[in-house]
Amino acid sequence: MPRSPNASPHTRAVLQTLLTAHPAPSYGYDLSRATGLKSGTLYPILQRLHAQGYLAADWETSPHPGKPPRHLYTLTEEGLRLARESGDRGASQLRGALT
Amino acid sequence: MRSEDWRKGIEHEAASVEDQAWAREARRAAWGTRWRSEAWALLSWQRLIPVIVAGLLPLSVFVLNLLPPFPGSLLHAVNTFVNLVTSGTSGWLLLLLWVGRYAWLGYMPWLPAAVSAFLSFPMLFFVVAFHYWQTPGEPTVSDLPWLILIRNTLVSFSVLWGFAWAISRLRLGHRRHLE
Repeated sequence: MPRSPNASPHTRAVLQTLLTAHPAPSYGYDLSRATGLKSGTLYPILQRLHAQGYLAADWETSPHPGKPPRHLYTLTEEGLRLARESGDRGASQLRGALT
Repeated sequence: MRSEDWRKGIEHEAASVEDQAWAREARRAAWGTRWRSEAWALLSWQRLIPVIVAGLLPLSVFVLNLLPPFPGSLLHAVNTFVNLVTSGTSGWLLLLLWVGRYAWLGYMPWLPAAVSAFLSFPMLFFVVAFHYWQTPGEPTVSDLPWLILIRNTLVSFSVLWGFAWAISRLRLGHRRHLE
């Protein structure tokens, strides 16, 4: 059976973290801490989700002088749907494994 | 969003957090993202044509040998042109222009230098070796001066890298001047 491109545990963890924070945006650092993913793994996932239209990335001007603007990540409508589906799929897989 | 924006996003995130270990790891990831995207961009056929041409320049001797003989008045000019093309001067000029162009466009200086040196010089070497193999009694593969190939490729890489680095510094100065 062909595997969905966004079905990996890492991608699901990112989607669930973004879903939990929604509608508030998340920083890359917070996503990395919450999912336990290193930036080398996290950012390619974010890039892919953004390219597929599931994630919006915007610049936020830093309130601290001398600090550069940061990227903020928010799920799009499509992304919200995908995150909910992936959460349901994860839960049903867990139920299947336990029964 | 371009890959350049993603790289900036990672670097800015690293500069904004207090967790230094995470910031170091993020900067490494940003560097990896940058060199991979630039390498993919450089390693396309259209962009590599000048490098391949520089490596294949000695072949022009064979092509000219296939042409009918030139009249006396043209012979001197043709000989000068052939010498210029096959002596390596034009190949070097082509590589310097290619490397300089991409350094000016903001690529990491070592990357176009590595691509051009490790692609064109071995190619040039094998073209010349092939030319010698056409002559009976000339050296075989085991007699090829491999050490010279490796040394010359590394020296070429260093020279091209230095040139690209100088161009990138000039670019930086130029951009600061414009700001």
